[in-house]
Amino acid sequence: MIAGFFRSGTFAAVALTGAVLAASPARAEWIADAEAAYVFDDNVSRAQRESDIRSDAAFLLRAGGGYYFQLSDRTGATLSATLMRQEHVRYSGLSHIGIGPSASIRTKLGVGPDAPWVRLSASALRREFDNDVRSGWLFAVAGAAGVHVAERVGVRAEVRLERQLADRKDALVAGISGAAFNLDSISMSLAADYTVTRDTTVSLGYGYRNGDVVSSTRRNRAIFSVSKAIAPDPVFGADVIAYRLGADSHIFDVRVSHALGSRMSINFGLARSLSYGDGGNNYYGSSATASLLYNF
Amino acid sequence: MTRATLLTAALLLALARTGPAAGAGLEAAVHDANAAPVKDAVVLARPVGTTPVLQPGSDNVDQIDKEFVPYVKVVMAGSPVSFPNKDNIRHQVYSFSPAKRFELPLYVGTPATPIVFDKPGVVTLGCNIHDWMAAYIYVADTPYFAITQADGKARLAGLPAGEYVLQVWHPRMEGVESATARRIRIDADAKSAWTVKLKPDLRPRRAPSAHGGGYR
Repeated sequence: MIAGFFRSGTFAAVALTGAVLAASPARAEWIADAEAAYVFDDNVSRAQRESDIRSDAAFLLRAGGGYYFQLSDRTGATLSATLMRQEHVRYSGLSHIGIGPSASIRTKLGVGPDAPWVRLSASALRREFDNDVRSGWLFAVAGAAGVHVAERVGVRAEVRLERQLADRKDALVAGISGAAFNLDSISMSLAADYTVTRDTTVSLGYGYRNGDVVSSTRRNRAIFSVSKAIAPDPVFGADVIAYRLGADSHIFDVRVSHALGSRMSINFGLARSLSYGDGGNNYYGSSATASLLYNF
Repeated sequence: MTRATLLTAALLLALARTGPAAGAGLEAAVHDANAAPVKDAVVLARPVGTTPVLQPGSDNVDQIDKEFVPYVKVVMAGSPVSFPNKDNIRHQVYSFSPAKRFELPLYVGTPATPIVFDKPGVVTLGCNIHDWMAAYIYVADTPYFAITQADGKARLAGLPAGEYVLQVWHPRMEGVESATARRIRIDADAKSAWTVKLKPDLRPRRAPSAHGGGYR
């Protein structure tokens, strides 16, 4: 087991994370934050047929820490690490722990709170699922920008590339890849934030995602014919198969954030996702989130 | 020194302390449209017909736990003001106000040279790293001023007898300062009250958001 740990990506994630936290550079600001959240998803299986759609709720605990470097009057960089645990209520196989480093650099194109800003970020998260078919790495790079357009209104946009790499690739059918949980995607999102009061903000967002999705259903010829990879998905049952296919997704969300003092906020979000998969394999889902965020 | 001389000196000293030269006091009260007390309102008394002698003095606006302290400061025109950074991180202080434009690049500790605020008016301060940080320096052309506390009250002391124009200013006050002007004769302790309409507080907040963001 110990040898397996060292071989696994988990060791790499922990080592990278430890290096970040141990750096202790001069002229850096120590930062830390925590999050507790409840998430409900009415289609965690990303299925098309009513009989395959599964809903679930999850509790999330996340802690982050690292360093912030003020490089100039307008530019700062962050080097940090994240540790999280997501515990699912119905499908314990989706429960997982994650650990990994992240880095970002942000610059303001001017002086003052209304100046536009630009941020580049990169992250790596090693996830160990209670059912390890999904265990592996989640890599992301993103570019974002934002600006105040009116006294109460700000807008922001983000482009994000993600790659998920699973350790296991259990082929089900000869000649067809078993890497069903290896996913690549690109997402673009736009959001507008409206300041109701200094403490309360309402946000409306739209996101477009193009890339791989995993649909976990019982045998489904329509999906099989367009799948790039298939593998067993015992999280949802012995007869459930994970199909990786391409899809275009449109995500609409509304969020409310309310400050509880200067370091904490409570946040609520509702999202509706419409995914149009290859071969007409479409699926839809809604999610609700409630979270507490705290900056130390 | 004879007893008579001593008594005379004591009497003169008592008169000097209690006579007109000691000045009267003005108790000011500022409330908003909902009758709630308004904190951090600047109350000024400008003497009519005379140009008051200003005695500029050194002052500070500190940066503590990523906030400016105090939120509102009043100084007499010509006063040098320092901006000590008492945090263990760097701040950057700027103002684009016509009364004083300046930028202090990233620094720790206290800059060697204070900023002299020589022009009457309102100076809005910010930190380009921590967008929620804001403060105001009111540069006064009169030595008679005070700032209201949490109960909405302020006391101006040492007002020589005479006519004054009283005015109020607050960072979020709707309308112009001159609209609050009232003329009053002060011969003894007096009171004056204002009701001001405040704009909503739309400063950037410090608490985190679910979408991330903020300075880091």
